[in-house]
Amino acid sequence: MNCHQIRHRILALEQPSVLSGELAGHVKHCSSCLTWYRKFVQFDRAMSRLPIPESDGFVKAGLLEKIRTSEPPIKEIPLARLEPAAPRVVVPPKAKLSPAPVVEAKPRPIKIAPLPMPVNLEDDPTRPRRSLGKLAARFWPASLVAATLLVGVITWMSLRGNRPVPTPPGPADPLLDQLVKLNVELAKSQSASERIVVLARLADELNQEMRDIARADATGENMQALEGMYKKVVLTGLIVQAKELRGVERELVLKKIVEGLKQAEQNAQQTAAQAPEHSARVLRDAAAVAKEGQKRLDQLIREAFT
Amino acid sequence: MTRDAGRLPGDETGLIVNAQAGDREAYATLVDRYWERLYRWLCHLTRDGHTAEDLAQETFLKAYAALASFRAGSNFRAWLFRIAHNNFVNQRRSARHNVQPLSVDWPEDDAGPEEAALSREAMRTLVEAVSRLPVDFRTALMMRAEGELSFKEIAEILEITEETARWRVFKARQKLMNILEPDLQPAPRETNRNSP
Repeated sequence: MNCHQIRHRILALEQPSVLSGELAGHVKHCSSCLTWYRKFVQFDRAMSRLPIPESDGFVKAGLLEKIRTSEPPIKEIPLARLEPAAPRVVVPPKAKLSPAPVVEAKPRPIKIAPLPMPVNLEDDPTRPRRSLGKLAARFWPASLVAATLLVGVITWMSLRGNRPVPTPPGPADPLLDQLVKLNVELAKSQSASERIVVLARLADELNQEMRDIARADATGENMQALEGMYKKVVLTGLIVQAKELRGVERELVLKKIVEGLKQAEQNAQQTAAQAPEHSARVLRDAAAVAKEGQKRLDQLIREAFT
Repeated sequence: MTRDAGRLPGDETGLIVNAQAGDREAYATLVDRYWERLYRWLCHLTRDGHTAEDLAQETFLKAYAALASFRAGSNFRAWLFRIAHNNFVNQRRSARHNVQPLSVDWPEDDAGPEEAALSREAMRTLVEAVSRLPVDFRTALMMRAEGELSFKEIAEILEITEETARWRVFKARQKLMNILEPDLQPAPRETNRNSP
């Protein structure tokens, strides 16, 4: 690894103040990287000590007071506007970066929002409100692939073979269920790396389905339909999203995907060896798609730092 | 650091269990323990002290309301940050995006020996640069720096992959280092015991 790559690796560490192995070895013997690293450690330490606006402490004090005098959380807490108990406060010394003056604090209006209680379980505080319009606008390429895929699967399922018409409530098709689930996950994904992970799982599902029906598919038409979708997911969906990633993230995410594709290629080849010729041909095509996917992703990984 | 003092997982679980059972003093202790780091993190996100205080307060109230649903023994700190982040996202959506640098009252006195390594000018540059980072990067970076959360915890809170969390922190550090490097002086060797 060159200096540039070493520095990138250090920047991506969880605990950059502790170096080991190749990173430590390089930094120890490279004066330029050593200087850079010392500056970086200095910067990293400063990050947790950045000065922030001095707080008058009223909001916190008001909150603590409210908690101490309120009912337990199961019951409704009447949250009225709280007046500060004392107008004069001593601002505690803010460690290191602030002086410790005694000041006449200016109490600002304290807003304590009324709290709906008991908790509505549908209003989970750990979930932000989602803006579907924004999500759709931001991630339309992935959504397009997913929607195309879903429509393709549903169409394929409705046209395939001499299947009896299911009577409600018939058992759900596991592939369709899984694809719908992944489609939803894809729509919820907020970054290219997340979309890639979901697309890789979609590809796995399709690959698995091909292998499952390889012996049963009398004409090979179902296999071909699945292979077409698999190709779209791997060579269109995955590659397009992979180009969105940069540097270390591209390397980290894509390496796992390449490994998955390698495994998919091997599985398809193995199943092809035991399948009827019409299915084996499609499986070999799928293996070729997986191989092409690996090749293109490898190329993107190599380009990550150029 | 003082904010880490008294952070005992077992002790914390006891406080949570007691708070869930209706012990208000136990919850007040938890608020006291986490207020500072949540407030500091929210300051860097909102770039406004008052908004940060309001969001911190809202976070603790929501957490209090939902305390029964929290599984004692799991990661309370990450849970709080997640609620705080959602509050921030909601607040940001309702308020128009206002790009203001963080307003800080800079002390006249010199700082302690550790900060002395970073000049006031460099610190000022750093604060401004942090406030200009894209919000996703700033959120993840300050979770790592202020919340001392792992990449895995950050990923869980932000509902992203661990690799994405790492990427955001990496990118934020890279941007800041590019801006700040000319102003930095290499730290003395003895302050850097674990490094080569």
